[in-house]
Amino acid sequence: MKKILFLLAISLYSLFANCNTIHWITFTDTTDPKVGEMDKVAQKYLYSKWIDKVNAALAEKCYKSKIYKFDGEDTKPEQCKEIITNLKCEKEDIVVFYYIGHGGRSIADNVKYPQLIFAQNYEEMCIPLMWVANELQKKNARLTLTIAMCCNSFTQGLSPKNGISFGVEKGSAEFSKNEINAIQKLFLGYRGDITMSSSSIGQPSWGYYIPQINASMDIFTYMLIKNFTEYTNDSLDPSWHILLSRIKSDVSNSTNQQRANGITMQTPQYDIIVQKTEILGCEQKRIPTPPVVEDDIIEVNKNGYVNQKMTEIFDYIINTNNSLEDRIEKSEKLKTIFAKNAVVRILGADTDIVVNKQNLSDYLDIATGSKKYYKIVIHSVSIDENKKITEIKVKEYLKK
Amino acid sequence: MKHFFIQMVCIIIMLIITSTLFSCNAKRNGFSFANDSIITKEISANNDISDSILNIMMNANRVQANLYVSSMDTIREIASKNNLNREDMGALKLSLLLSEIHETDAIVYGRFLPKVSFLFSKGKEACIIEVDFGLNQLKVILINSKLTFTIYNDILLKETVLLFPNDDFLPFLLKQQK
Repeated sequence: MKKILFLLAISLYSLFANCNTIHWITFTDTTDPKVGEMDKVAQKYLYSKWIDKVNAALAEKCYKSKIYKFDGEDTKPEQCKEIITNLKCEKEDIVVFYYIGHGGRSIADNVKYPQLIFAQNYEEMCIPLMWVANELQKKNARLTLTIAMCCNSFTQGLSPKNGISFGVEKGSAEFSKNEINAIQKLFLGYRGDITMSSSSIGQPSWGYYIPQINASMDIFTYMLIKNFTEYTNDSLDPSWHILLSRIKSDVSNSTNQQRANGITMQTPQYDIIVQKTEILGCEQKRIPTPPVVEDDIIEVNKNGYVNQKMTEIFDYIINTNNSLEDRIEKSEKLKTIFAKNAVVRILGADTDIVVNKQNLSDYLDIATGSKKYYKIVIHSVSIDENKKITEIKVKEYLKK
Repeated sequence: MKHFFIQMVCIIIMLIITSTLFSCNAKRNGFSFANDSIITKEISANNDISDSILNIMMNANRVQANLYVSSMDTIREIASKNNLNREDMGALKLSLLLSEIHETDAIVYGRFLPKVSFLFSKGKEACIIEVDFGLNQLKVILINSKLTFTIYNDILLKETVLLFPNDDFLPFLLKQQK
């Protein structure tokens, strides 16, 4: 395992020495007895329909993605504090924070955003969303989005805080050049900070059955993804103001229509401080530097780490801005850590159902020579006793 | 215009029923809803609580009210009224009937922390109501079941403020709802 990580780290350092990064920090309370099951649906939906898609669009502009995914028992305030405090980012990086779980506010809180409860029971451990937003904004990234999907209702025993006291598709996803351009305009065409919570002061946030996806999930995440998908498909010149106002309006209307089912009005709130900016081109100047193993912040699980690093290598291999020779060279290097009969299983865009299976080396050859990929996201990696990769599961994002 | 007229007529009918009930209350110094099941049904038209549960509540001859300070890991009782007097009991029953309450199986992304509970009992029949006014949710607890309802107006909150006037969380919520 260590050997694989070391090899991956070495190849990555030289590949992405001058790349910018989009950092995704997601906390999902998937083990809560009340909301856990719905949160699993929301997390899956969030990744397949938003995060992977944005990463695919930005990969074309030489943005690599770094995902800090916390769920289950890792949905801890301590993890949040650590990741937010230690996050290192460059001036042109993008940071997105997304929380799904319980929340609330004190009657003495003087900001409009809620406190995040995480998967724990101590009020003093709750983290105000404003603290997260302020800390992330201090990093001076190009664009910072801080979003919380939780209640903003008044909660007994919660003290005020300013800081911390401690729908199924088969096959691969395809998206058009217009959609890619629109995503790039939203994430790279704006500089600034956006903070959003799923409900206004005193309001709860709701989750219920959504016929369109034949499952229950929180209505805010559903509307965010639905509007993001529709808007990036339709609009040539998208703006955050319009996108967020559409989400706000749809969540309000949906909850209002559910009154007879015991659901009260939920109105998302947000602050947008952004200015339009030029979209940077893809300038990759690779400097031959002695390989250094990067600090591994994601100590959550090693498999997650391998998945992410493999995804980053695939980003390089499928990026047609890099020379074919380089891509082949990296691809051949990667093959040395594959077992003899290693296979790749391709998952459906919105599911974990395998829709195709192939020899891994053949797949890598095709991916290296092809122009059809925006992104290949690695979902799992299996390793045998000889520390060789025997199987990977991937999701593909293809050009239309 | 027609819709508005119907709404006005409904409101007037509701006011007449309410004032009749209150005048009865004044005369009889407390009243039993069991004697007036038609009126109970009329008033509770906007209320999803089933007839069987309403019957337990309205027929109760003993109501115990408890006030709590809850936090995420503890629930502590801070005040209690073991046996509400007839006026308070009548007013509480009326508040429950006049509240717009809808049953829900939707999930809310906040922790349910009861601020007040009411135990309605008569003989062997009993039910408990727990209310979180922050989430505007009410749970009805019977021997074998627990049902969740959303509250859409502040009538029950106002009544609870009258029952426990020294609490500071409830008046704050009342002010917010206005």
